[in-house]
Amino acid sequence: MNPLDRTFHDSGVALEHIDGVAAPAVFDSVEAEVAAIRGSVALSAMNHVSMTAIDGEDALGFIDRICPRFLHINPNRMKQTVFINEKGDYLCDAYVCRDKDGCLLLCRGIESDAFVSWLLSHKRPLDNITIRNLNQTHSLLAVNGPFSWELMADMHDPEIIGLPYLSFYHPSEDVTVFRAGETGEYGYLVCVPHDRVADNWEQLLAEGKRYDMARAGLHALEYCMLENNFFNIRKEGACRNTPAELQIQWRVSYHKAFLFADRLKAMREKPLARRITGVYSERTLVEGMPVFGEGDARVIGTIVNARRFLSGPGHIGLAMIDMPYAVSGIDFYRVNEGGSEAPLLTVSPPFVNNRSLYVDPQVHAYGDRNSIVFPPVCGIRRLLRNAP
Amino acid sequence: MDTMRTDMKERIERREDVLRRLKDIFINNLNLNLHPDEIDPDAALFGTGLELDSIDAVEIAIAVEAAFGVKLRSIASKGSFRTMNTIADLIMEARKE
Amino acid sequence: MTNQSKSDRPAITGMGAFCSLGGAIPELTEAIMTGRDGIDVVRRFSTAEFGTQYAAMIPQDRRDALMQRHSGLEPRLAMAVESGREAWDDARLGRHASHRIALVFGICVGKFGDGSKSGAHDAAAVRDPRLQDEVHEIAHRLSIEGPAIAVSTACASSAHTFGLARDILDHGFADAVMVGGTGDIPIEMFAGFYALGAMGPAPCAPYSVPPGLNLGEGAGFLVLERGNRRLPHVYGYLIGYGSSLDAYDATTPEPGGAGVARAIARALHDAGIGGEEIGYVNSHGTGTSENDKSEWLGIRKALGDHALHVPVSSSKSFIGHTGAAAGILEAIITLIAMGRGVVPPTLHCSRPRRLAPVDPVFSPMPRPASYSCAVSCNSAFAGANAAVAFGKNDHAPASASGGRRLYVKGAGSITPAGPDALMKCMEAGVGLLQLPGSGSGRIGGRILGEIENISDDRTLDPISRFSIAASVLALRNAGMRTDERPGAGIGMVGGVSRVPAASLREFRDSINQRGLIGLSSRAFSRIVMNAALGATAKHLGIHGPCSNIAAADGAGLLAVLAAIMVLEHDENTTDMFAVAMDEPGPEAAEGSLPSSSSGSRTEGAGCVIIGAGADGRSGTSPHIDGIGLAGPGRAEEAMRSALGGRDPDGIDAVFCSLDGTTATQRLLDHAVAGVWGAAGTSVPVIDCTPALGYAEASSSMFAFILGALALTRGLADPVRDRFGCGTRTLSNVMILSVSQINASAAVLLTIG
Repeated sequence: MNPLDRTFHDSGVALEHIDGVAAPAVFDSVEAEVAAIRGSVALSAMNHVSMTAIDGEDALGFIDRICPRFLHINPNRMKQTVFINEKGDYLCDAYVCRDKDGCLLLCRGIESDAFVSWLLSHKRPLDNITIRNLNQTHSLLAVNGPFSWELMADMHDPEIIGLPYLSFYHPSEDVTVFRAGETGEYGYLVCVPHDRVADNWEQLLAEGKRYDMARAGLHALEYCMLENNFFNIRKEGACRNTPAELQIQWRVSYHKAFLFADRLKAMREKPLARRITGVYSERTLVEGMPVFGEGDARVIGTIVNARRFLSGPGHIGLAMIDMPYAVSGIDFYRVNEGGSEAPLLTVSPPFVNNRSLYVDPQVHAYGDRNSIVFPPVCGIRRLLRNAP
Repeated sequence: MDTMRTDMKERIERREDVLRRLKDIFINNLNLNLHPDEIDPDAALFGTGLELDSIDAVEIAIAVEAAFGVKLRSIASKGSFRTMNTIADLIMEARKE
Repeated sequence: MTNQSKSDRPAITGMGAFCSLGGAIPELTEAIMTGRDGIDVVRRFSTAEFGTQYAAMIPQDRRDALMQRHSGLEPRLAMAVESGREAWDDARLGRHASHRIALVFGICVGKFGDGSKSGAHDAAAVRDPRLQDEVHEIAHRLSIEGPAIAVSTACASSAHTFGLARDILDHGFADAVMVGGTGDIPIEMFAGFYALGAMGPAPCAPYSVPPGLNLGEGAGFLVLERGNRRLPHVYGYLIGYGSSLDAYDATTPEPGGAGVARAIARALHDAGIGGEEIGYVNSHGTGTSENDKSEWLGIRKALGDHALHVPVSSSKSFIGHTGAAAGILEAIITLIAMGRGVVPPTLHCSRPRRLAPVDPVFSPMPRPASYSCAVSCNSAFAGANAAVAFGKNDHAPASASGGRRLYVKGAGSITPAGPDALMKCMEAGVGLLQLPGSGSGRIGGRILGEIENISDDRTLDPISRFSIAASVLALRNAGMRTDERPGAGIGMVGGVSRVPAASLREFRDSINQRGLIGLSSRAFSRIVMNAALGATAKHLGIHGPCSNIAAADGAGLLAVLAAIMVLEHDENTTDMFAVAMDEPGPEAAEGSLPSSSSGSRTEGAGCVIIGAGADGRSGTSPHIDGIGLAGPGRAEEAMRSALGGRDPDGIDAVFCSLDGTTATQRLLDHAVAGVWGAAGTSVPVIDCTPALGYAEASSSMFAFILGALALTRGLADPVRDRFGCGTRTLSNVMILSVSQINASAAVLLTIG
């Protein structure tokens, strides 16, 4: 078990087992943790993310051969993709990070040993590469929030505010800082060796006091993923849907020659029968609920991910809706909630107007956040229009 | 679709029409090397997703104005220019007014 | 080994300037010393559509007077000639023979249209601008008869002139070099920068608020001479020069400033000084959030902790962003300030941005400071950076580079006849024009797709694709992988002729269809002459020294020469690419445009990789045995320089590519007769144009490649017979470029 996760376990933090890891689910309350992610800074343990290092002369070529997306990546940059297997199933979602001696992969949705095995199974005898499971030696932390850059600048280097989104660097030899996250706010991932992670965690908590920092667990993080429409392979990605249906076509390249290109092509060839769509209801939405068109008994879709909205009233979610109904801006659909009909709106995600969009690290500071003019956080236009 | 309520059908068609024309703009004006079906309407435009840049943003605004008569630059804010669907929202709202 | 010797740092012996601050150096000086800027509300045209009103323009009365003095000249040329004459007089250049004075001039696209009231852009008015013609005109008016070369790297153009000028002096190709640049503000430029969101709402405040730049106009000159002579007066010395490529993006700089850091580090290394000896940095400092931040990070990387103490200010708060003139005008301000014992301020500033220089000299007036070394840096679209180090004193003489052998590592070409058709020509003895596919003069998409999957980058225009394809072929031919770690010693020099046709057309069309307010900013970013160079560097991961020779005819061979001189000067550079590219557009291919040749102009690109040092391959590759550069019409002089005293009888063939005019033919015949006639022998002269077609920049590169191929593979019998080479095995060839508008250039290649 990861040393950090052990301390959570020992102190009684609610855990959830995902991908072979006991990840902290909630520290305080989802509401408080989301408030910190959206308003200041939040610290999270991310050991459910599989970290793999592939080194050697043929590292990039090897990954390129099995990756569905064209990987034109500059050194120290990263790209998002998904890995698919020989059956056309989604193995995991991934960041492919181009390092100077090879690449790093940050994957979600798969146990790290299983992923390494899968990679090894596709290694050819002449491939000059080594594959290492970094979770065995390193931990991953996340710092997310509209002022996370300020905390990171304090802890690491003022120049970190110049680090562009989806790039990374090594402040020291065995530490990596990535500018990436799935909350829609400024976010950083920090990869440190196991023997230092407990100290790092405490240090961050101490420095973070100035920023009213909270610890955020898996539930808060996954809530923010939903609010900002970051693909969650555990939820909407769990069904066997095509990239078009899941709206993740941008993560793959249909014209790329790679190991399972025929599987991808097969998915491309299917006419679009349904598509994942953002939805909103004033009443409760529950995963698995059918969606009805036109108020009659005709089922046109299913709710696949839903949560109580924390940036406004009601519930938000994602529904897999049949074509031609899968279109945003429609208020004719219904769900059956608690025995009665409730209107369901289709809306365009993201559901929030992230504060990070309005924070300029060159000019602002957490200390004078009250002088920054933020528009309403709720990003559902219809609700804003109807607001008094 | 034939048995659909006319008002719903009309709303869906109007939306699909805007999306279709937006896809044309993306493909022709931005030289996106994609088939219209391959563009996810809810994919992020900047940073990740379609990975457009600030020059593309300007081009989209100009092209949308020319194609739809909607001055995106005066009504769009940072929060509303994030996916093709959010641009479609702005266009549909502006046309209703 | 070529004829470079231990040399002194160039001395700066003359200055001239014409800009918003004044029409001559004294007014410019007075403005700097009193904190008076030249930024004002634009009156020359309406800025109502643009939402920003400020620029540093030449006041109308002064402009009118200027145009009166130089009737028949465009304003930007008039400013150049005016400031050129001031510098000339200041340096008393009449001391030198005119053919021993060279001109290296920074200039960007300036003619976008006829600026008519209707806003429509007449195709004829905008067709085919050639920057070299303007530089040729300037040389003519300044009585310069040595090499006159246009350098075009957008906003860093006149900064990149220093490197080439220094190399020209070091090789003794001239006794004095005038370096300069000019830029003005056509309304299309204003609209273009506005479209990019770069312009600020107020007089610019680099490192402060509000962010944003102001455009400016002006021209300037400095005169460089060999330092070891008796000189009337010396303003300072060019003690170091460095350049680099970001290889990152077409309009945004590499965010961590690594490219800027490399350029400054090279300049310091060149000067043989550490960062702590720099007393002032004149930054590019446009005022935009992104550029200022990235540049500052680069300055910090290069100067280390010393960056926290050194004053860093931006002269653009005085003169605006003068485009191609920025490098020279800011260098002039740096020299003036150093001479006067002050650091110029950054004006209009209040609170500093977070990532900004620690000492940005926020002040209405210059601050007294005594220092003897300063750096001026500039960066441009497509990631071209330059840093120039000036010293009050003549530092220790530059040591000659260790005499490394330079050899041709690889070559690649793209022509309508297919990739690497030159190879086929050589083997079959057949001309390119006879190969299938070449008839249209156009390069089909199929040819490029075959070579590399470069269709993934949607922002590439045809000329960038040609350039990338030729470079990739050269890389493969050389069996190299570019080491993609930034800092690697591989650089690139471009050779170009005209504004890329497809992008210019797209730019014009966008204005005609959507008005100035709707112009295509993508096309705007691609009509800079170094866009293809930047795209190629990005694709291949090349981060080393760079330049872009916009000399038109013969630009290819001039790029090769520039690349060779970089390698000779800087032992940290291991390889240099020289890429020439042409995209004249469909009208030219059909011969419906006026052209300098009797035939049509073709499109294409050629690339050679020159490597330094010994490795396994170098023994079997052609070596650079000599180079020569002289004024236009002085090809004999250039060839004699390249021969370096060797017997011309040892030359087995001369390769060139003529533009088809009788004038050029005569220049060639005269030069050949001069060298070989005098020696009582003759030499086969192989003009590649009839077989390959004529591409202004690339043809001389093709001639070079053919010459190198001829050495490695020998000429096919039909070719030998046609050119009377007999049965000689080729061991030495001369590649020659003969031009009436830029220079005469020669390279001696040898094998074995």
